[in-house]
Amino acid sequence: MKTVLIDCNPDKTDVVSENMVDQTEQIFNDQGHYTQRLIIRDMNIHFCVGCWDCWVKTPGKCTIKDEMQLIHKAVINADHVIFLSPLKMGFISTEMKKVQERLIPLLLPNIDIVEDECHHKKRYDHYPKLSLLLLREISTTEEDIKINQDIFKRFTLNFRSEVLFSTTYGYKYEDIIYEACNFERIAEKAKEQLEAVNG
Amino acid sequence: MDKFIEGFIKTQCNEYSIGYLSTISKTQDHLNMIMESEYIIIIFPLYADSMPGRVKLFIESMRTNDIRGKKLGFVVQSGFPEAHHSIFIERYLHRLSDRLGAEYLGTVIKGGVEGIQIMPGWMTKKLFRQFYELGEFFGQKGQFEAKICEKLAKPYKMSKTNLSIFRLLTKTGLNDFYWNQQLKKNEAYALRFDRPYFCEES
Repeated sequence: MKTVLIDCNPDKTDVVSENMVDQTEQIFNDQGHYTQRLIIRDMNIHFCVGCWDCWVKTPGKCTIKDEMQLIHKAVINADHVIFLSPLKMGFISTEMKKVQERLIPLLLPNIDIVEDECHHKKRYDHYPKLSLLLLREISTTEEDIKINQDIFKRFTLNFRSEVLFSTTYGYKYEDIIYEACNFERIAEKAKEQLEAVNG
Repeated sequence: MDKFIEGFIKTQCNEYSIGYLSTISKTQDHLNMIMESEYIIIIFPLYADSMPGRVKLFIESMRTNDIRGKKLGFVVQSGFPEAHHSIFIERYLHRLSDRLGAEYLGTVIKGGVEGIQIMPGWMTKKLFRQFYELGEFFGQKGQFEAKICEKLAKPYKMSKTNLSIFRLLTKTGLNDFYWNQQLKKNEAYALRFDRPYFCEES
């Protein structure tokens, strides 16, 4: 399983954030995942300009000349993508926003009805599951976290994927990650046990 | 928003200035503009379910001292027709206003504006009239008029009838007409389903 970690912290001196990224990567390596870390602050990534060239001129391909295609390739060929971001003014960082909006070439411009709503059609057969790991600010409240999680869920729906986990870095955060990542394995095991009991 | 401004300046003595947040190099000018104003309206399109990155960058530069006690409102427009897509970021915008110590004026939500520049006049007449009236009311009272906001936000979600019609259109390919036309114009139609970032070996 390939997991891509996208480090969206603009501050390379943030020790807590570095620990968060290191520990998360370690968890996935320990579970036997192949991991790839992308550090946005070290990459040349521009803002989306909403030109739609990726939809009507060079289908599927962004025409902005920067390093975003490295992210496009990593994301669409992964099984799981984790966005790691500090909260800035109560919301995900500009770096994460920048990456999210530049992912639109991975979808078609055409509209599909999903969950009785308009969303973009899939361009690819397979999309990675998405996760969010947030770093709190001093002033962060539970409502701030909930707003970010809800918007991330919306983004995931629009990206034609699903959320594997979305949580904040802190005490026992690893448990939430383990639980989310092993959900299918646990469900499978429970099914087997149930079948054994029922003969 | 031109129509909103037309309505706004109908009230004598109303003044306004516009800053374009897409010009990142002018962030300090935009902050100065905010400090000199009584009312601030931030307008943006919904990008990946929230504000564009450039707007987020500007938000990160705002400080409580710049805006405390001022009145702050937002206008969010989306390409998707339903207002539902924008209500999630509205919760954040309300929180942001509180965090900055500003008085929250509300968020005007308008969906279905994709391709508005190329729409014929008869298609935009009603919408422009509503924005004119919204601006006119704002110019008089310093508030977004609730009933106009409610009308602009329709449909909140697609009705069952509209969903059925849309599904039918999808089958006929009629709702792809705009995109196909653009692709053909750019000689890219044959490439429309390309998957340039897919790697076989992964």
